[in-house]
Amino acid sequence: MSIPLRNNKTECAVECQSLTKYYASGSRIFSKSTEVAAVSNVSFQIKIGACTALVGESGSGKSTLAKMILGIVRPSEGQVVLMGKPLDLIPRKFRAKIIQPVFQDPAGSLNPKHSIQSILERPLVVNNVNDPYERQKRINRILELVRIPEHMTGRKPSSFSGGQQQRIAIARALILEPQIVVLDEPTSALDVSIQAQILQILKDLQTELKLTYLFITHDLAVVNAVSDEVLVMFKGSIVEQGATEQVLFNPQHDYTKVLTASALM
Amino acid sequence: MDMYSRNRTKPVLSASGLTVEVKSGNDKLLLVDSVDFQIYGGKTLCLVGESGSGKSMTARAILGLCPKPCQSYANSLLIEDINYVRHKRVQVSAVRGDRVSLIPQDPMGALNPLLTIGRQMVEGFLYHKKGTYKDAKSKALELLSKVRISDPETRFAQYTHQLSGGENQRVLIAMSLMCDPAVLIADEPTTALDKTLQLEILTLFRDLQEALGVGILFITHDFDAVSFVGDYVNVMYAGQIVESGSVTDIMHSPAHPYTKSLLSCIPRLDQQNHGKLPSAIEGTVPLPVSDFQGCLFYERCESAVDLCQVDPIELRKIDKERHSRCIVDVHTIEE
Amino acid sequence: MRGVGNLSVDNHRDQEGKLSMWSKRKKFLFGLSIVVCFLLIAILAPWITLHDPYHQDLSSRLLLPFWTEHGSWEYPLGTDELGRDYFSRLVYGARVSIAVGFIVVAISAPIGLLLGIIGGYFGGRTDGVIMFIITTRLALPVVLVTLAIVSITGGSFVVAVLVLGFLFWDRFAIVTRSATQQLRNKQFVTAARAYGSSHAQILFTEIMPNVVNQILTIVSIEMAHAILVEAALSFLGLGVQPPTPSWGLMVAESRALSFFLPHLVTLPGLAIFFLVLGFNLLGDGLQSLNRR
Repeated sequence: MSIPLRNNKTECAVECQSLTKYYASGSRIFSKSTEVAAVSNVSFQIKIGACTALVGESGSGKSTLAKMILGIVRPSEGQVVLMGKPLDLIPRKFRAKIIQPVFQDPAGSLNPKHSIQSILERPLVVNNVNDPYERQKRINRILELVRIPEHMTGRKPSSFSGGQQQRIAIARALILEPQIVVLDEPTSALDVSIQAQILQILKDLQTELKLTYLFITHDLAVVNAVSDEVLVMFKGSIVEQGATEQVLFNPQHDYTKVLTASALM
Repeated sequence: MDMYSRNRTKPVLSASGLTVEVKSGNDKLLLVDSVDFQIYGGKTLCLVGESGSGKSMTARAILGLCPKPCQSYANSLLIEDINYVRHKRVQVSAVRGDRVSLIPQDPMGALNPLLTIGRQMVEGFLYHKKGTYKDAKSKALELLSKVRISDPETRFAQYTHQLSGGENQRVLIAMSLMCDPAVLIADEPTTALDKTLQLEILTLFRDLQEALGVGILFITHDFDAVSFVGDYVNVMYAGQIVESGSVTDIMHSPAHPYTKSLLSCIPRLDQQNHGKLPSAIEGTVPLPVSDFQGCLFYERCESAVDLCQVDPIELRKIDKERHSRCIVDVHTIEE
Repeated sequence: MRGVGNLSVDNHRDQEGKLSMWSKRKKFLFGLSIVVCFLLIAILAPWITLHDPYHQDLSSRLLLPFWTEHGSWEYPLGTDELGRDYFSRLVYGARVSIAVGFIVVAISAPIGLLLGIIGGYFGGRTDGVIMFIITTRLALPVVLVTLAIVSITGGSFVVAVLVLGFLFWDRFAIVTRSATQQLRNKQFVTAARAYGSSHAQILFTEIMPNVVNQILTIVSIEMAHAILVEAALSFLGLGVQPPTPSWGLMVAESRALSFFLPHLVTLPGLAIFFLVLGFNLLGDGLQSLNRR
């Protein structure tokens, strides 16, 4: 049975339906284990080509939510639908071509023992792109898009600055030509001038490659600059969602009001 | 000496020619290049810069805590009119924690998980022989309530893991005030915290300064924090101070091209900037070199001229209490 | 183009006094040179010895080494009780010892690596089982087990090597397991899952390269360990059997005469000492280099 990846009838890149995740906590031997909901009953949609921000503080559950959308963590209840197909029906290898992550710590997301060439080539090899010329072509193209010089591909990540490492991580995420990219605080660990460079590159890439972004961050000013819609998360639930301008400058929920007030110092 | 009657017109700390070097082969690389600044009682001086600017190194140099391969020198370092520089080396170990105190960056890392809060707080007090254990404890309780920690008595006997990140940061602040220092050096105290907590801690800094009259050197990369707590600011780039002045002046009309570019890099949370990406500065911060001609920002500067590459640029006074390390007058260019 | 890396002090840690860097290298190089010396001696044994180590000449029993009054260069280190040239026996003994070191590690390293990497990576119940296996192994007294096995099969080089090989994997397993546990939470592993790598692929391409450095250190140390234990086993008569030259055996054979002819005992003892020292310095030096 072949599962067509592109369902032309849908305009949603990502759809979450009543997502919930429980984690057991407490001793399991002497008392009943209590379950804590890291994410509870989260539902939302992201349209194709949009950039949707997900804001929340530590402990809000945004990382767990991101992991469920990426398929790394299985939800306790509810389901994730990517490009019209439920996530659990998509085999792992196909999933890689639909959705990819970019993480917060650029140094941690690149294997320190691999050269850049190897880091970019592995996803292609794993996904059976067997022609070495084809692989090299794709690597060169993606390097050009993130503005890393080709002659440096023999080096290891430690030879690069934080901003360059993050660009390499972005290149790796894009080399399989996914449609959706989940960016988990991609610029939080970077200086503000480097952040500006990365945001610019991300925007250019989105236009060029027609990507959909889920942009997770705690920085409301960045949300204001990059996103069309925003989801506000607090203690596992989405407390407010909507167009960025609305939510940031006319917040309805108390928590959103607190967040925006503390940002506008 | 009563903290409330501090002299607010003479600097409590005055550094001149502070330099941090590291040997690399036969070269000496400058991590901090001959920096001068003054901190006044009751006022906050912010040291702003990105990674590689040398701001953290400057703080460590004042405390004499530069890591082994680096060496720090200074012409003079006056804290409450006593010079702590002998033979060009900074020697503050006797008054570290006493007259000048540090609030380190990561609260979870800076506190010992195996000792109670109280034990750690009284340690410095007793080491500097400020009084008995009873004095120390009552001072600690007083400070814990000053930093707005609820129920100080109980907290005194608790451990780090029993307090939240924000509470740990407050404990660190209280700890730094135990010996009534003249100067507080806060090294990125809010970077590791959530935004809501950041606002609380910054407000705390402001209030404490108001109440205690202590001078604060606030190191950060966040301009929002600068505008909230700072009175004066020094902008650092690649080991040099490139601009200094009052916070209002610099935030509203920056003179140095780097400051100007840096400010325009920051994304803004207001409606007119919705959907607009902040403009980026091309290139990266240069590595420290021993001898370099001209301006360190030359390659990334939009207003650069050939003359910028010739001689080392000095810090020039451009206005009352304003200095800029640039020979191109940015204001003229704008017109 | 100026400036690529960041200016943090870590970049300058290399400059931390040329002396300390050299002393770390020194340990490694010193250890390496000792080991290489012994290796060469073992390999070139037929060319550097004058006599057959097995050849007995009862008329030349217990001759003294060249530095004594009655010694000669014909038998540079004298002869043993059965008239065999001591120098040749020492040199061929090196072959036994080094062979033991390499073969034992060749058996134990893969076992330990596999157990450690699987337990560390998968965690949960799998790790529970693996930890149980490791703990059981740690609870076994190695010498007694060897004794028991040898009493059934009789002592020999093969038995000694097999027993040691199948018992000495614990350190490999423990080190690999903790290293893997730290690595599996790294984001480059998550990224690899995200682009479709299977667990096996991740174990080999992502985790293994980061674990190799630590493994090399353990390899070196375990070789030393194996050599030492083999010497002890041979001394007890449980390992290599006469007439094969093994340093441990040579010590055992000369025990009765040790008061009168101490060199018969000290020379093989020193040989064991230096070879083990060499391997330990090598492993230690590797560890210091890695930490940099």
